[in-house]
Amino acid sequence: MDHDFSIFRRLTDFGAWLLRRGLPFIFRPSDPMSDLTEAIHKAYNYRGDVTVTLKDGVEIVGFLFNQEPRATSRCPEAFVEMLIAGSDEKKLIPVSKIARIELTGEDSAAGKSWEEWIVKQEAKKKAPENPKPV
Amino acid sequence: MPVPISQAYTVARYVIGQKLAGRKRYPLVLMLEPLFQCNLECAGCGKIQYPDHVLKRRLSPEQCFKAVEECGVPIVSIPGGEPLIHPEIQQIVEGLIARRKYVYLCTNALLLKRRLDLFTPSKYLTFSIHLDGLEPEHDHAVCREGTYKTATEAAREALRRGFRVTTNTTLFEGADPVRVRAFFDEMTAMGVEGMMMSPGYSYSHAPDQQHFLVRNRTRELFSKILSDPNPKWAFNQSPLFLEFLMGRQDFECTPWGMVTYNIFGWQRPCYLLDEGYAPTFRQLLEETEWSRYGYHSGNPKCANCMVHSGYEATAVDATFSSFKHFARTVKLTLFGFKASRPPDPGFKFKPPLDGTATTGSSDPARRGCSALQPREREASGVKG
Ligand code: SF4
Repeated sequence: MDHDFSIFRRLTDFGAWLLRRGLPFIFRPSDPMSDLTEAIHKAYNYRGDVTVTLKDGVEIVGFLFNQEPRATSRCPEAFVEMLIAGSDEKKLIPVSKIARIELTGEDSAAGKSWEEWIVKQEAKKKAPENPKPV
Repeated sequence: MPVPISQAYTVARYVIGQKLAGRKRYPLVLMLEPLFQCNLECAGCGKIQYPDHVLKRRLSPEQCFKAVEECGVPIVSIPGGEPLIHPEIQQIVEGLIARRKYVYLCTNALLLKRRLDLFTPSKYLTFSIHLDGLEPEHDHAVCREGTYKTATEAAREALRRGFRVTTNTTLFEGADPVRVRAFFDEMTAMGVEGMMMSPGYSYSHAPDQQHFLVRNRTRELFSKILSDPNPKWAFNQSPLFLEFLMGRQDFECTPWGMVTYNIFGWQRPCYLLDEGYAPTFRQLLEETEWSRYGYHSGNPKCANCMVHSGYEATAVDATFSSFKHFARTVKLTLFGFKASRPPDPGFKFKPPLDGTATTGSSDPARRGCSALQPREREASGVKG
């Protein structure tokens, strides 16, 4: 009887473990708010233009230069701010209106770090000055 | 005397006025960035890494004057980008001088010789020329050969025409103190009014212990450079700040001391970190969580930082906060660093009070030249 109980307990323990650890891996319930926070963070640190799609379907393209995670005197909720490409406009967008953000412009920082420059210089130094024609 | 008496008097009167008014936070210098575009493309410089439509934007002279009036500082530093590219730089400088602001126009000097005719020598105008060392070191830092020659030629011409000329130098780990001293000798022989220097900004995810090592290595580097200095060297910065770099003073950062205004607005919290923008100076001061910044905040981004833009204002404030610091500043100004205590080989900066405050994740490893470091992704190695 003891033995049976132990198997039963192991089964229920495994069931509980599966619910706790396994199911989230299988179903990956997404938290739209934390996904959006992550997307804002990425967009803010991106050195190119982004496209913000609002919940009403409107798309805004520009450089996301400001993020404010708290309510301030400017806006009673979290917001981002963009410089709109091709206009002088600065647009403040409450986070609650955003459906998604994509990094759509060219990354102006790509390949331009100090470390990458040093590697290129080293490679230049090592390369023969007048490579012989093959 | 590295700065004119009238400038020292203006700054002293301003700081004392702020103290008498009971202001806890006040700026000393406005870092006014009228554009991000530059005629150099130094590797790792975060200032020029924007889409074209951002790089093409400029602050108008009116926007510049409004920012200056909003914050009320006595000194305006104009970095960039390269300010001499701005088509209205003459109007901006003239307008600031008309407002009796001491203007430091920070330039790589590649265009200076050609643009000198736009300006008139004045005690209010200084060309602060970015030079990161002798010719090989400077050309390497800015990723282009020939810049040192062009910049020093322009500096000589500006001096010949009676302009105030200073140099600003960023030193990174690995700088050779002997070469830096030779560079200071060369600048002194050229006749510049004064020199400014700052360690580059560095930030990494390295464990805390390493943060302290970086800070202490900075102290060692500056001790080697400034111990037994050439008596002819003149520095255009607070001697207490230089003592801080040598580990003879322990200050905390005042990020609001040198506020930054550019096409995005008022940058939070400082010239180096770019964690958002306020539309007005008042909102910058009132709505920034200042306790999250500075060495003792435990913010990893501040752990290595000893830059001029964070700590020089602290040093100036300290000068007018206690008789001890005031007397020390006077002594160092009159008698130089020979009057300073001998270096303490055992000195170590105290660890931060706690390590709890953070401002989010970051990608490390970036350095720049005279520019700064917006945004987390590219921290490490920029001038303050
Ligand atoms: S990065 Fe440096 S200047 Fe900026 S807040 Fe931190 S310690 Fe101060």
